[in-house]
Amino acid sequence: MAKKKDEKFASDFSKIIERILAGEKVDLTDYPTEFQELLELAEKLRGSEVAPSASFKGELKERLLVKMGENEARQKPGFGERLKQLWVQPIWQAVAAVFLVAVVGGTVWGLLLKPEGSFRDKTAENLGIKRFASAREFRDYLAQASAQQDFFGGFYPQVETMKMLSAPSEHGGQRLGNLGQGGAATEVPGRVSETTVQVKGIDEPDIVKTDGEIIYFSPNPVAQIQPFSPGTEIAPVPPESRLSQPPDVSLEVKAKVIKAFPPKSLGLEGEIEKSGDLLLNKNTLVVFSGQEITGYNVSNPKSPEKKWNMKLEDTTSVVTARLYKGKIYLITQTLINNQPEPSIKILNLNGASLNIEYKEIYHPIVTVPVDSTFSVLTLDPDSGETKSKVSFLGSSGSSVVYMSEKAVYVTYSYAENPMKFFQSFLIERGLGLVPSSTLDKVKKLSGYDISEAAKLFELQNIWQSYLNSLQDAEREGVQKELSKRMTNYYDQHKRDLEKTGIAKIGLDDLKILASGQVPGYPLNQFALDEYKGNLRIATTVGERGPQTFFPGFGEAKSSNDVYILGENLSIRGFVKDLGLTEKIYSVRFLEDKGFLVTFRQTDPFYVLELADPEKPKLKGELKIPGYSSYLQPISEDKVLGVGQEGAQVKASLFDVSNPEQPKELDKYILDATWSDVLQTHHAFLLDEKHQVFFVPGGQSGYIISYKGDKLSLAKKVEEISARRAIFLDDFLFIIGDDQIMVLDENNWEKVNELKF
Amino acid sequence: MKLKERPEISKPRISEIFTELYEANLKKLYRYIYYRVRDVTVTEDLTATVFEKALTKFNRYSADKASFSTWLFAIARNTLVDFYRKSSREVTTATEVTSVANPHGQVSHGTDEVFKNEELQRLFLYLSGLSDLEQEIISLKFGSGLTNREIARLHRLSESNVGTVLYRAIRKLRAKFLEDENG
Repeated sequence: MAKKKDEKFASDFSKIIERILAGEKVDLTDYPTEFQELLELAEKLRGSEVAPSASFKGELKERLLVKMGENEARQKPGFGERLKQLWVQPIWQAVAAVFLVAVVGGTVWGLLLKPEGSFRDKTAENLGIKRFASAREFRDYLAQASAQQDFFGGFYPQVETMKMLSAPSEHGGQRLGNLGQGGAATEVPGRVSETTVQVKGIDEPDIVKTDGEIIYFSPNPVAQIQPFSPGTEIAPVPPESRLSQPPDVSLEVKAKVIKAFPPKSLGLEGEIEKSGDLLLNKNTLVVFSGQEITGYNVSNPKSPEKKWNMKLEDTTSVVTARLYKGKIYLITQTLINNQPEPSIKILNLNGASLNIEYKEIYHPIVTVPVDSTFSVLTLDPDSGETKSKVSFLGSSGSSVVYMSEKAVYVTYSYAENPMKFFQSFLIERGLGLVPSSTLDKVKKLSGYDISEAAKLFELQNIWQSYLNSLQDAEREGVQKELSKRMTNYYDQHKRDLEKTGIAKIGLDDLKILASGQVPGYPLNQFALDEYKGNLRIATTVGERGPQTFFPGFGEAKSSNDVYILGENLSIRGFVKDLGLTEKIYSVRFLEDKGFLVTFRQTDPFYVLELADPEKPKLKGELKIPGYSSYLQPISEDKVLGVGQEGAQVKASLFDVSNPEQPKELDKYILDATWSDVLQTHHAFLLDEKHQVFFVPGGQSGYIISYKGDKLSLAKKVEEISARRAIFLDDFLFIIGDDQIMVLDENNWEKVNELKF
Repeated sequence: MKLKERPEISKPRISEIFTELYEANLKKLYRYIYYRVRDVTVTEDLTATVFEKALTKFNRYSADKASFSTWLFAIARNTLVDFYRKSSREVTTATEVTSVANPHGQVSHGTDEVFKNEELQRLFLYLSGLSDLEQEIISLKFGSGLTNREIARLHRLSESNVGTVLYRAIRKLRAKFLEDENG
């Protein structure tokens, strides 16, 4: 009870603080005194008069201007353009503090819309896609589309880099490694676990791979991704020059090669100079380490032999990769500027560079903000050579990759024209509040033959000069009322403003099969699922709210939708407005059913009936405290969830046999506040034979039994910074950064261990 | 819309653009750094360093990646890391610098106005007793006024994570306050 209250307070606290920071007066009478005192304290912290002194401000400015002059003289002509791109966005923030808009290069939103189109009329339309016909067309498109950075003011572009979320499977006794080495008969396990993945048979990169006899393990590659690792004062952060790229984890950490089977012979065989996420294909181990991808021949595990090395250009990052039927599907994202060369370098293999010609690049026919080229490449794991490739333009906000047995789906987010949005809002809802002379000026803007950026600039001028003409009290009143109207208007139009584009690429020859769009944003790869030719996608809509576009205006009213798209990615059916004011925390589709967890304070667990693609239906929901961030179906009518309740990690077992009345059969609360499962499904392991699952948590590993529909602790392994677990035969290997422990799954006794 | 329709007005001089950006970001950045190091001289030095780095490195930075203030905060974070590393080599940390310079626990400051409020002065002192992450989040939140989302992204945490840390940090501060008052 105390926990639940605490959780609610933490969430309320943050919300109230945001409101206070936005300048609102908040009524706290319903809260306990302690809570009010905490807010008072926060107010004091905020209210300090710490500020740069006028003399410091002036001196530094002078110094920087001198320096700037020097730089300017040294730079090539293109410099000014680049500089402008860099600096322009905050001007809008600074000048008006009304529009928070990513304005780049002065050409923002150029051809975002058809000249006469209202910003609504594209909603239902399918985004067509085609290739550039000439270098000029390519340049023009980019100049007009204008690179749109993470529109929502993100710090790091939210490309989920090599840590996409997953379902376990096992392959029976398949030994891929070096059989019978040294003449002695090698013991082969009867069953071998694989990385927990989303689609069975399509492997995903992870820090642990095994062939049944050897375990390959990259210890703690995320230590540098999380700036604050426990115990260190200040942990390293990525250098500013490589903001969006994964830190180079290959510097010191080496991947370990461990002889694992039979368990009695557990021992370190060797090391590999690189470390990072791994893929294993027969005798080739592929290591994804920051800006490098390296292939090793591991037929002799004692001395892995480097076969090829691929270096990504600084502007390129790996979004993710998949291994399917002996081919690696590599998905990269390359940032482009709006005056690009006719071909874009994305990487080089053994020193030879791989370029993408403009003619190979697909782009939406309707111009949308873009700043990146996404490429899908198929690689031969043995040589690293590219077999085929395809590229298309998108924006670097957040990209999700989902791969089925037929196609790769790559999503990218973009926002519709906020200038148009704000203009429409003022015209439609400003009546009676904003004088008609001001509204007239706003209306006239549409007719001007100037770019959207210039219109935005004008609109902001008009708006600002109107506000300046008011007395303080009056201005406050106007802003409050407009804020209220904005909340409402935004809620009605949120599906027009926040969008996700989807490209569907066939696996055989990497042809773009279709492209489409849906409102909102998918959470992760599990939000997409292909079934019987249709694509289901779950998105959160309106979560970012008007504040992200127009600070100080309105409140977010998020909701969640599920769309069913046909083969050509046009929308066939949908379920809208699930979990109003909440956001999606996890999704799982299982044939004709969909499970969705949204969260704000409680955890509605939704069951969707998707058998009819034209008429998907919400069948039932269950409200329980906490949330699940990973869902694992274990049978047709049982789903496991791992998430949090209060500040602790929780596992839940749901019964979905009656979709109209989903039930939580049992739950188990771990004595841990964090588990890697909350971040990646790869950390989860299901062992159906023993009816247990493994969850790392804190400095322990938990093996939880789900026998008889009860969740109970089968075994807790302590003092190991557990990351993953695998099973070989009936032995469970718990792999930690510092050691490996082997348990006999029949009695959970420790049979061996290896300290690094 | 064709290329020729690109606006003429969006070609202000670089120095003008810079001036506006500087004005817009200086205070936010200054406050963040001050909340971290709690010393005016150090804050001024580091603030200058951050802006200088931003200037010299901007051509290595692709504007497409993140907004300017994002970038600025990332640089500031790195600059602070460097600063702490250096000061730890000199067997003193920023907070120690402060306490060494002010044996009575007074935080040094350029203008008295900042600390005319004694309560605030104590708050800042207690801040140094919090973990790095807690200090960081408090500084970004109350120094710079960033949203939880922005902080979450800067530090690759979840938004609710940030909220929880913030809440707990403030509770810790309050506990220390009460402790001091009663003891």
